[in-house]
Amino acid sequence: MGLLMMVLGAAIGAFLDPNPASGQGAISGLFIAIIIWAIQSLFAFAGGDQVILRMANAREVRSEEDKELYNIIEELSIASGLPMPKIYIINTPAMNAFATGMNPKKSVVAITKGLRSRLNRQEIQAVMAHEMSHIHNRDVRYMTFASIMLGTIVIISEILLRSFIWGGGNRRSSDNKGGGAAQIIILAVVILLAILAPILARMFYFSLSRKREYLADAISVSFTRDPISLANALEKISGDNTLFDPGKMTAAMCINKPRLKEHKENLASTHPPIQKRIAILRAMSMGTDYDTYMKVYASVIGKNDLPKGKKKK
Amino acid sequence: MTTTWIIIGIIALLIIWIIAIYNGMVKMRNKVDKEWRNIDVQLERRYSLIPNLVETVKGYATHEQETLKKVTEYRSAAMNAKSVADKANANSMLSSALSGLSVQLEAYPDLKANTNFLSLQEELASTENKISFSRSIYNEVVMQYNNKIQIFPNNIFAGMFSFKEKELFEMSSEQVKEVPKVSF
Repeated sequence: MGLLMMVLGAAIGAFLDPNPASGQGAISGLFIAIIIWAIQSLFAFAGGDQVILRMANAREVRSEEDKELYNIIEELSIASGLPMPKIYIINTPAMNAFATGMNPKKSVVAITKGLRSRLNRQEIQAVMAHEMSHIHNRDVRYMTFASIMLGTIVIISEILLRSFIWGGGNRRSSDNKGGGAAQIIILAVVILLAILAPILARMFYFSLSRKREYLADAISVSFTRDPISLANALEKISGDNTLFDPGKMTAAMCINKPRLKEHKENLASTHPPIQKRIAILRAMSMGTDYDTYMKVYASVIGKNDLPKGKKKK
Repeated sequence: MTTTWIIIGIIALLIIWIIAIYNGMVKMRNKVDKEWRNIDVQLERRYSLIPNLVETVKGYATHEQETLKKVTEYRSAAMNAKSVADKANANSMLSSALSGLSVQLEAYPDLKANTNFLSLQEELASTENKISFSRSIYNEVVMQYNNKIQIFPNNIFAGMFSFKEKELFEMSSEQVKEVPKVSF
């Protein structure tokens, strides 16, 4: 999917060239797309872990302050074979939790005060197992790159559309007088692509994010062997209506879709419908492992389209 | 002349092949030992928590002396167990005694207000979960190791270099099915 995004972006870049037939434009467009993407990725790698530190109401918890939470994470670190992440508490009544960090050694799990206080031990464990699964699946890195690709495509489309508005199209038609109909068709295709690409990319991005959520549920169940607690926790979370905005990148790592401010509400969803996730977990009567989750997923959703997760060890 | 070299070459390859098999088995065995130590650390932790718990509970739960005695007995039985299977067995007895105790202690609200007891309870619950998680990893690694030394031709060299099969750490059937629970 990332590849498709790159190609899409590169193709748009290519059409910026006044002479698309030469093919050189396509190559340089591809390079420009890759360069924009790479630079943004570098920035993300350098600063991505700091996202949590920028949240004003987030605070690292030491083991003495919340022994139970610390123990829960320590247990999960044993179950998953991952190094112990840092633990943060976010002082908000919203009910959510997320993971961040570009690699498992530098990872952070965070939970809001609202969620911490309203779930019992097993439910907290189930939620944190979901977050540890995001770390296990390297989802933070994965979704960061995907979101940067999305960003790159949006930027390139924007450049393209603007260049038409500022007379790029004019230059093209005056340069090649003989072009005629062919030129107009190419122009139409380019504009269409510039409009459609960001929409398509966005759809890809969100569908990817939703699949990573199901996958994290599956892996977390293989850690805890306790799908019921995750279902219970999700049920409690689904009643939550408090605003919570951890930032665009982190939103995909949350236990459930954070309720953002009103104007962002209409964005496509990073998370699958919570009722569907609960239904799968509740239907896991034959077992509590990864394979069972995959089977039940296929029967509830109707198709087996999840990416293959790395199984535990 | 050339035949000698060919024979020497074949022998050299054979030796390299045997070394590779041997090293593979050693690595796997070390992995098993490492996972076993992970369980053992948690078991030790549990043994050291129990006397504290018994002391704390004694003062409150005067009617549960019998259960407390049982817990203490199972604890020393588990500590004295030598083989993996014995340890697993003794520890699953200990687990069920502890969860029995936990149910009985529900009847003592004073105890539930004791912070010392609460933190002990949390520590024991967490240790229990850690045992159960490390146990499933250990068993998986043991399975891989046993497979490795049993398949042909590894089994020949396993016999030669005395690689022994390892025992699974299996708790009694009810315990295995049981999801890690808060109750200790």
